[in-house]
Amino acid sequence: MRWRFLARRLAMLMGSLLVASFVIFGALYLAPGNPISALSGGRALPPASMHVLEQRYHLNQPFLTQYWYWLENALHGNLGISITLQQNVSSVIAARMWTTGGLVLYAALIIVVVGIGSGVVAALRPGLVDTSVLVSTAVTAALPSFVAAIILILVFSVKLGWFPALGNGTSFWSNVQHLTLPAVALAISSLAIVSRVTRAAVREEADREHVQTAISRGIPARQLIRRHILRNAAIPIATVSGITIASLIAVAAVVETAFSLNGLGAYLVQAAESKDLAVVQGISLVLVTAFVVINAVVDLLYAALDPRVTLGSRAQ
Amino acid sequence: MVSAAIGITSGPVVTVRRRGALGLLRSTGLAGLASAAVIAVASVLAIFGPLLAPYNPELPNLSMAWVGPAGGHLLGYDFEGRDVLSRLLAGAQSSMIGPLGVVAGSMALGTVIAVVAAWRQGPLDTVISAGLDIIFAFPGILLAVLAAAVFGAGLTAAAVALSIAYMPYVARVLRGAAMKERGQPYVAALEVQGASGTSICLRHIVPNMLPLIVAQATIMFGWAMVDLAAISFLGLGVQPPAPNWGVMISENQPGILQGYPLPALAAGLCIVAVVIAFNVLGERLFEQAQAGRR
Amino acid sequence: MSPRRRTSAAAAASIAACACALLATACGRSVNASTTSGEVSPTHGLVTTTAAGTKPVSSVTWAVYRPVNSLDPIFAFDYPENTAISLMCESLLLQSPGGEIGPGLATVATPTPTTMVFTLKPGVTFWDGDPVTPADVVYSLDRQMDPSYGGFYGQVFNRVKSIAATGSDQVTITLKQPDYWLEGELSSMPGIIIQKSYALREGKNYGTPSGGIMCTGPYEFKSWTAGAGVTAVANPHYWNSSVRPLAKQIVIKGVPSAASFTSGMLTGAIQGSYYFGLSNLSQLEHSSAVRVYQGPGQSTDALVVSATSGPLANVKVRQAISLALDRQAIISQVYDGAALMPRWLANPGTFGYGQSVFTAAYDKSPVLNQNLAAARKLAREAGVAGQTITLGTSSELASISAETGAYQQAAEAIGLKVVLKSVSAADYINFFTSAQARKGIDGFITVNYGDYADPAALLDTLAMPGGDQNYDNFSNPQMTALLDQAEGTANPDQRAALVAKAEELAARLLPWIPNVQPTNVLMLSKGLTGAVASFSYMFAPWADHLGGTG
Repeated sequence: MRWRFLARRLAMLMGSLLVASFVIFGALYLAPGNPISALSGGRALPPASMHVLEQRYHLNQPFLTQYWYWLENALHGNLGISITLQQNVSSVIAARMWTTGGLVLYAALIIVVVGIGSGVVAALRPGLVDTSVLVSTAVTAALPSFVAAIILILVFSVKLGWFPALGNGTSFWSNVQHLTLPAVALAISSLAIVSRVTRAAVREEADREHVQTAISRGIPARQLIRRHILRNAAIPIATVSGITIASLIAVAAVVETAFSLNGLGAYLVQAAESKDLAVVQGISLVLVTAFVVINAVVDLLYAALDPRVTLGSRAQ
Repeated sequence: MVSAAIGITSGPVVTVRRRGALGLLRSTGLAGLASAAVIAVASVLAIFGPLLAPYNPELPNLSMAWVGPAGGHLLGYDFEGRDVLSRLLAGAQSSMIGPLGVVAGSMALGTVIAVVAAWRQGPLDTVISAGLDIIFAFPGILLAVLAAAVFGAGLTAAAVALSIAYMPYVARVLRGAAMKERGQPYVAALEVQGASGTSICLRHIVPNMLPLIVAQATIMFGWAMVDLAAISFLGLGVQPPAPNWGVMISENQPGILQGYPLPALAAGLCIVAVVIAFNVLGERLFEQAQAGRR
Repeated sequence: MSPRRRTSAAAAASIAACACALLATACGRSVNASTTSGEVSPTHGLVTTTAAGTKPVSSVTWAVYRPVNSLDPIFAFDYPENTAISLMCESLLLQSPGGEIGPGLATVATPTPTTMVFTLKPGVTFWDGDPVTPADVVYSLDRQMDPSYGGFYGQVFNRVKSIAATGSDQVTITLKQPDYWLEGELSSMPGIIIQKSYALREGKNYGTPSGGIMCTGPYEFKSWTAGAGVTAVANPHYWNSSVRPLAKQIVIKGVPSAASFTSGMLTGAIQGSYYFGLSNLSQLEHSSAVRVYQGPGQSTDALVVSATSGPLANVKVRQAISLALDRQAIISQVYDGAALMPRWLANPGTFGYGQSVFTAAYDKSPVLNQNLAAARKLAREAGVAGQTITLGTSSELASISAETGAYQQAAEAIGLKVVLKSVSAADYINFFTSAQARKGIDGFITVNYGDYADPAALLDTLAMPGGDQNYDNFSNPQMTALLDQAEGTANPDQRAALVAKAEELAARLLPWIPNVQPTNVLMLSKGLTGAVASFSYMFAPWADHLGGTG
């Protein structure tokens, strides 16, 4: 049962990836004007360069053939050339991948530790702790990442001077320093959701019959929490955490721009502004793939945690 | 996004007693009413904002850049010496119209798809469900960035992109509700009487789903507002110097480092206030929709 | 109260409290705060160099306003490219920080008015150890002139008849007519000498990240990656043994956001820059982590007029807008004081010869002060009320945005409507290179410069028919005659007199509208010194003496 579910989910995700890559590639043809003007971002190119573009993108071939060439190249790591930088898109991506990866990882860590932690604590300690967690999540849930960014910069960088305001660091430790405020800004609105869901799930589990039975039998609290409550609450918690972490990938672009980080997302935005279509397509493909991979991992986790998984869309 | 969805449970369903809009609002409690008030104010500003602005929101006056609140300029001047309050009032329009378009587009599309899938069931439903599962994977912001690269930066492209990205989510949520409605005895009764599928859907199923649709639309407005403001903040949505809350944050961000945070903060607070209002009202409405269906 | 109500109430209260707290901390500038009024005197208090560094430093990150897009001198016409190339490459003649032109890789002799003989200095070598030969010189110059390469500087050779190697270390340029501007150009990007064999081998890739470059300077090219920038390392075999580079590595990095640039300098992530148009320069001046120097500038902040029809094509309208423009606001808000009020299009820092003649004429010309009444009168005479002009801008570049705003203000003051067309920072340069990008645009802000210290250098490009920055087809017979004559005048003072007349004419006819004259701002991290402080950094090596302070 479990493997059938997994196989079906993975097939869906591969389908998503394929459709997404098709849309990303096909965008070239949705652009007003002809594909060449789209690829050159509306710049006037000398005839020699236009010829090179035609050849590289096989523009004289039927659409599906072009798509196949593009996909094949992409799988081999060749994503074309940036028209503004005159560099390989793949080298542009490789240079910036670590910033985005580090940022998303850092934010994911914050979401898991603070989000799940606060949810568990709120569920198991009703009263003041519970209320304060609820209040803070209510406030931060509506805080868009770029608003959080300017508030964080104002308070922690300008007024308190605890963290640098903008840019990347130079060494590992200064990178961590520079990525802290961005990671918090990225994590803040997702924190609320994860915290709430965790709290609800843990609460529900804590009220369950078998847990009540265990309490009446005198089993110590810590063991209770670990073995019974968390184990079963893990499914919705893992699911929602996975989904929110996957959604971080898109919002990272906003945070990177706000903090002037040289990540993939920031460059995607700049390329979109310069109409550097090859770069936009390349980075979009990478980000969507990452998104799909994280969703696949979430599904794996889900299948591993819940032995009762059956076919059909999982309840979200 | 997920919290609302988690709230859906499957329980025994009764036909919904359709309350008037006012009754619905009253039942959402104090927080719901306060949120509705904020939303009402924002909507009025969206329509009349440019007329209410005391000063020209688009005319620069460089020598007054960053000056603080003084004499008639309640919130001071922005980075080009324009009155911040006027720009906020005028900016309400583009900040609210975009999300309206996104909600209208995704709700309309999503409702149609959901009802069709629920009505026809069988292989069409499977295909639609599979299709929805597949296109779920495109985050709205990415699609909007792609649209901006292809069609040029602007509110229209971004709004259309977000509608398309939100639609699968709407369809998923509504499909469940539509399925429940479909299984109601009155539907079978109407079919026996010879009513066509279309008329049953339009006259009975969709109206019975209205509380859920309204709740979903309200919550979605909040998300759309955040996403569109983010896209304008990135420079890919509403273009400066047009007033817009998201644009104002990015235009005035340098002021934060220089010691003049007011313009950016004021715009940020406007966004947060309206989004919170939509979130709170939407969640209350959601609860009502479910309570009514238990 | 139910738990839900309690939560909501508490949430509302805390939100309100936070909002109030934040807004309370948010103060603004007080309108009575003294804003610096622009100085007019050209060289008062400006420095051309900084004390030479004495200690080695391991790595210096140097910021430019956007990422470098080429290291090929034929394509270098903007600050990032010039900064990177002048760091690593050298030209036939050399501009000193004070603006004088002297020997570079070669000395020059002019046996006749139409012959220039360049003799290569003994021992000049490329980074790979190969000597610089006349073949390399001829190749480099031919490459600049040859239209099939698409280089930017073909124009400057328009009086050249032939270039040929005339000895084992000699190259002779024969001219059709005397050209006293060519020496200046050859001390700049058009005169950069690259290695022929390397360039032929790399072909189209020369000057790109994949092809690299081969030059002669104290810093050699190491690598170039997107995101990281251009990396140059000290050249241990530099042919000029009197210069020992002290920085082991210099990285030229593009930082488009002025805010992140400031942040980087304050935290030490960026150690130096010639960034200009910083509205918060005083923040850096007051910081203990940064030292700010101002040197003579050669650039002119102006509105490029690209309209061939419509209101801006009318000289009266241009004069009206110029009179309505609030230049003091630009100096205080955009440059934070680091700019001068203009009298001419030329920056007084470009008086590299005939100083007494230039200064006398300059001081006699009126300062371009604001005069709204006169502006409105002129606009009424021109009869353009209600018409629209379109200005190109970039919302990503804060200084360009703000100055365009000042033009909006001026245009509205005289009854014109303004439409803005905004492009990304990376694309702003396209306004200069692509007629397609300029379509429908009546004007756009530039901070522009000539290739060497001569007012004619810039004026020639925009006021002469066929000039490569003459986008509005400006043509005035008197102007053309003055500049043509100046190009062929041997005596520096006489040349200065002619150019001064041309500048006076330009200040009346306004082919471009001058905004302000920026000084050259140099920012260095505390502990670093030795960079050139004048605008000559754009054309000649600027890091020869860059190093740690004692």
